[in-house]
Amino acid sequence: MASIFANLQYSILLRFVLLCIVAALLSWSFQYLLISDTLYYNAFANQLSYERIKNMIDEGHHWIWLGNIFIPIIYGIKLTFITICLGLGYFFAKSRFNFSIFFNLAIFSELIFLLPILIKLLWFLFIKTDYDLNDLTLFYPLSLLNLVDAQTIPRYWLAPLQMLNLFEIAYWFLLAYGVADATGLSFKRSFGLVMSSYGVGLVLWVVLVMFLTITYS
Amino acid sequence: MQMRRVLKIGLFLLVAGLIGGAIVKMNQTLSVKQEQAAKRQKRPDLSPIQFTKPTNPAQDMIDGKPTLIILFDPDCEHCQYEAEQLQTHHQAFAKASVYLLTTQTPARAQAFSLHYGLDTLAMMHVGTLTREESYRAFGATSVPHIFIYGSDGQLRKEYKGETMIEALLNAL
Repeated sequence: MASIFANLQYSILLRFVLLCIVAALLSWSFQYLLISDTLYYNAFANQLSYERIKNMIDEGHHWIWLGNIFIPIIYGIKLTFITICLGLGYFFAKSRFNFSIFFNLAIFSELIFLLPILIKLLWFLFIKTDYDLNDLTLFYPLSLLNLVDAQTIPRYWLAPLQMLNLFEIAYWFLLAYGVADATGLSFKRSFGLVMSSYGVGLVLWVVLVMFLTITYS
Repeated sequence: MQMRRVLKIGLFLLVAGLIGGAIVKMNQTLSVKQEQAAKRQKRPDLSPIQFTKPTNPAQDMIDGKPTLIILFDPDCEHCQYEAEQLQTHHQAFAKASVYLLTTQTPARAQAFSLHYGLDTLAMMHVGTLTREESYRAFGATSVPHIFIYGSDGQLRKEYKGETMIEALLNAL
């Protein structure tokens, strides 16, 4: 079967590198265009002296490159986890396992999560130009968190409410389309496979994040 | 086919067990944290603490003094900076009692106290407590962690991390 995902297996590494480069560029734009020293001074002025905040910012500038090193590591772990989930779902449906097709699909589908980062960047650049560090941390476009007052809910609800957003739902459909295209299953069956594999993985991830927040915050 | 079914059921049970276990554990942790947060609203009993010099914490309540409790570690750079600042501005704390508490050994607490000149200041008290005592009184904390209690023994302000002297004085 001619499949856009199966045919592109040769370029998995290249596509992974491209994804990381785009993510790094967005992250750099975010840092360069939105985060200024003044934001830090405003955020910590009630607790730290000017000199200590300045030291903290200088120290932060020294380590900023470290964030870029983590981008491929984080994507590597995330995409492998999603691939294993989808692979297991496919194994239970068809008794077959193919890592590369699902890894390829995971890379392609991941592009949708770059959109909210871009929207967030444009939102704070052109619409909500008067913002603080808290706004930058809590805002996630088209997420459930936007429907509640983030200041009044317990911290352990922040991540789950951010994760429940329209891009996540679009991601499920994209994965289902990809699974249907790559495996020949019907879209309905593919959607069921995505929900019972990736969906369960996502629930596990949300529970883990909540568990760590409650235990260590 | 049979094997696949067993695997499916096994995986389902594993995931359900993990999620169920995590929810039970989270509930327990939240109730413990709520209890500790409620307990922290009142100044804890400092009498079991081993101080590096003769200290009577109960006297503060009798004298109606506000109290600052700073949980620290001698190796923590932010705690060292906080101690330096306290030493420099000690006169501003003349009408308060400042307790610097660590879970390290009494010898290390003594060395810290001597190094930052806190041993000679009447309002500064460096002491040690066990990890269990610290957890029971303050919950899970990182260092430095600062609790400011009013003369009535009620919590006025809590700071996580290094805090400038002006902020501490404002809360006193």
